[in-house]
Amino acid sequence: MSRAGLVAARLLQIVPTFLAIGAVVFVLARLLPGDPVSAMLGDRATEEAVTRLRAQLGLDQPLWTQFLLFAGRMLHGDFGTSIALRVPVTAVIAERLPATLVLTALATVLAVGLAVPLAFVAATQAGRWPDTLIRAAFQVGLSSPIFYVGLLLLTVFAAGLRWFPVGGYGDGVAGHLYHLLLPALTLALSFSAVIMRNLRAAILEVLQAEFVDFARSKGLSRRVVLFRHVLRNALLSTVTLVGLQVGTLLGGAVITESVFAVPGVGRLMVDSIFARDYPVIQALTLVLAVIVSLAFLVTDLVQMWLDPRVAR
Amino acid sequence: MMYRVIGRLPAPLLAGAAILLALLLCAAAPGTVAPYDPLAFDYAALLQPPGRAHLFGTDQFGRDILSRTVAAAAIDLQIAVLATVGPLLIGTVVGLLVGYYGGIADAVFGRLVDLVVTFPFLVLVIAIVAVLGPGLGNMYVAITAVGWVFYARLMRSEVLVLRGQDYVSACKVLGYGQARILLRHVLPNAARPVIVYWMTDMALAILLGSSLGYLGLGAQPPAAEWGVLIADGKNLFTQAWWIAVFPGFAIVLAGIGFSLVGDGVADLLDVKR
Amino acid sequence: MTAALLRVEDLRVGFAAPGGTVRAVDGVSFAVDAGEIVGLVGESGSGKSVTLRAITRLLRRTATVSGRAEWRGRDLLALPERALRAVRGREIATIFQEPMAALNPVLTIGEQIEESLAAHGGLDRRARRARAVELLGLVGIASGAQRLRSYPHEFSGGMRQRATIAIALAAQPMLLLADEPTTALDVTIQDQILKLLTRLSAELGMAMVLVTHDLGVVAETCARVCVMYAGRVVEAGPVGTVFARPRHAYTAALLRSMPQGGAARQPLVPIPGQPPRLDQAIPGCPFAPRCGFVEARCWTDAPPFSQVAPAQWAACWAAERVGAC
Repeated sequence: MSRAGLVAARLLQIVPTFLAIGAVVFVLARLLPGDPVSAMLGDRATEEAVTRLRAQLGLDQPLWTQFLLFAGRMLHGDFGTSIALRVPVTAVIAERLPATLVLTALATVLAVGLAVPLAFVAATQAGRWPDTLIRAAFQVGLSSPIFYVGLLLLTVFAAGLRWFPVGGYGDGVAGHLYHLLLPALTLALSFSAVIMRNLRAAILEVLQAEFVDFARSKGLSRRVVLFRHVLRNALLSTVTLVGLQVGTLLGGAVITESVFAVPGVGRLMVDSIFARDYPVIQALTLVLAVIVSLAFLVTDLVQMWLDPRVAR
Repeated sequence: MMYRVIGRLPAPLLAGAAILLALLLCAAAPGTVAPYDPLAFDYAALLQPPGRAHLFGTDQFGRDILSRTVAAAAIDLQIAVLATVGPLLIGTVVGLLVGYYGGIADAVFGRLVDLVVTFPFLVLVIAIVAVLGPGLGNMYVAITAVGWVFYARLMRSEVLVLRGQDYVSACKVLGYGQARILLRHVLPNAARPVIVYWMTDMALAILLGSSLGYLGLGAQPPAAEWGVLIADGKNLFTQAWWIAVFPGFAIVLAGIGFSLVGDGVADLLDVKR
Repeated sequence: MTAALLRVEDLRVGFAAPGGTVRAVDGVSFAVDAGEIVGLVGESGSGKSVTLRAITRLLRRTATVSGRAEWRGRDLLALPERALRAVRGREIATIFQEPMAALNPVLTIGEQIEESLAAHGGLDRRARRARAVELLGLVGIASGAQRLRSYPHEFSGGMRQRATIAIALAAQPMLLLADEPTTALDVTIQDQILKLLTRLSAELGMAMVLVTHDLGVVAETCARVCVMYAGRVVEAGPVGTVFARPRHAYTAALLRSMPQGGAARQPLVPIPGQPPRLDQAIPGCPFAPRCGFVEARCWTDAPPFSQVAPAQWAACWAAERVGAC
């Protein structure tokens, strides 16, 4: 199949994925304890108001009609009204989403920036002390819960040394980045441990490849062999890994935002659980899953673009 | 004899096993390790920094942090086991069946896996906890409801490899019963990577369980759980860092313990990851 | 006698292994003259590929190498890394058995030729491109300008090996080290590649060391041959003489185990047993346990590598008896 055909096929796959995500969220919503109408209107609603809302939400229709109605509303971006905040859910999420996206993007950049050089050193020094040290550090990183790392960084660098704000989101682009740097670092530390482990193994594998010997036999410098031939091939798997880990990263954002009081969708999710704000939980679950599936899509496209072998 | 066997095991595996045994002792008999009653208030020793009388210091009620950390081992080790054993069993059975028989069930399972990985694991677990309500029991249900898919996926891929191998075909030719082939020949060979994954998953379960405890969605206070203890200390962090720091050490230690054992078992069983 | 281009002396390569050091190469000596094609032949595990890779120090860090590899008066094994890099590719090029594995999958053929040219300097971008097209033409790949943009997976097996040869020839080396260059290819392609290599060697005056397990390949291409067994050269000499009248029992056994075109049809005789383990010291001759000519001293004393005929050397106590057969 041609490259363009592959890209088109991959783009089309997103449609059933979105439908399936919607179905899961719909089922989850049906499982909610109690009646969604009484949850929305409160206990003191009149009989008439309840009947009207039921009809309005289509709850008197058969289940599959309800699903179609649900899907239709989702397509229009209509997620209902937040019970706790009394504003449209779409507006709340639109307001909170940027902070989470900036946080995860910044964390990804930091994690890759941290993991790639260290994985490179560890792999080229495999079995020697720098490798042992780096691997031990990352083993500790992998075993440390995000909230704990966040709390430590917060205490030392924000409360103690006062280099960073204790929490919040700040104003303007610079303010946002400044406020999100410590939370992003928190998220990046655990993420970089995953990347570094994978990339170290990938580099070691590529180092065994015969094309590395061939490259050396051409008289290329060590730098050219390592960067152009080894790292470039090893990074292909890292690209996939970063894409596949977007979900884990968003999960981590839920915790990080709670620790650092970042007004993103992760903190909104936790707050909504305690507020029993079901429309928000439902919408967030859907939105985050859609973001992950889009990240998978982008990963596949980038993979096709980077690896000449894919399109064949 | 026993000594000889132990002496041949790799050092990281032994170190990991030692950590886990120490934690197991804390969980099984906290009284033998902890110097104080973890719940006893001592108004003469409020917010004491780490010292001779209180190795890890005390909290705002004068409770001994070392004793509380030791006492919490029971719940966290319980999380490591109970949050993983359900996914392990369900995933193994499902993976074995869909891998061996294939067909429509396998195709449906494949779509299910694609779907489940689209949801951030933690977000899906939190959403289910939201439906069921916070608490340890509901947390186990939520983790099991999602987590089994990953065990099943691993098991399925192993079974697919084994199914094509000669000795399984030979068993079929010999007219062995399906159950016998599955249980005696496929399962023991396919189980090795699953067991290794289980070890690392226990470390992840402790991280996940303590995170949910910290957020208030898992173990509920006054239950002593490392994440809950850290949440207790977070507001006092600048005055009394030791309240949150030491339970955190316990989590990191447990995580390293499970990882070392997992790596060691992977080497022993010759499982490539 | 002119001074040899490459003179390998008492080359030893050991690999650390759980059971002790594996002596993959155990005192190998041979020489290559300018423009000459020398065959290095033996079973797998005889140390021929390791010998080849040791010359330009392409072995992994785990290998310990000793001896000399004298290249135009300088010992490559003692050369600083920087000076060695100037020799690699520029003066001594290497090609490998499996061209798909030897080519970087994510770089185009053009990029892989041009980086070789760039490493040894002298040409600007445009000149490198022109030279790359010329090189592809030299190895028999037509419409080179378009082929430069292709990736290795878009080539057939034979084309890939042609491409690696083009890359190796980029800086006009004086010696080509070829490690089983035809083994991974289809039989019909094998012959084309061999003919290409001999033609290039003759046209460019390029010497070649050809490692192979195939005596037929040696007979077709080489002037001289070194037969290797258990990490040692057991017999060396002109191909015609060695094949017509082998003086080492192993060479004789090897020749009897393979079909020979032209010679009277004789039944093939496989060599019984296995090559020895190399992680333990071998007293006497390593071929003794499998040898049909074995005598008492073969088990205890290593036979010296001595001249058995004009220009022919062998390390065999039974050289006379083998030669008389």
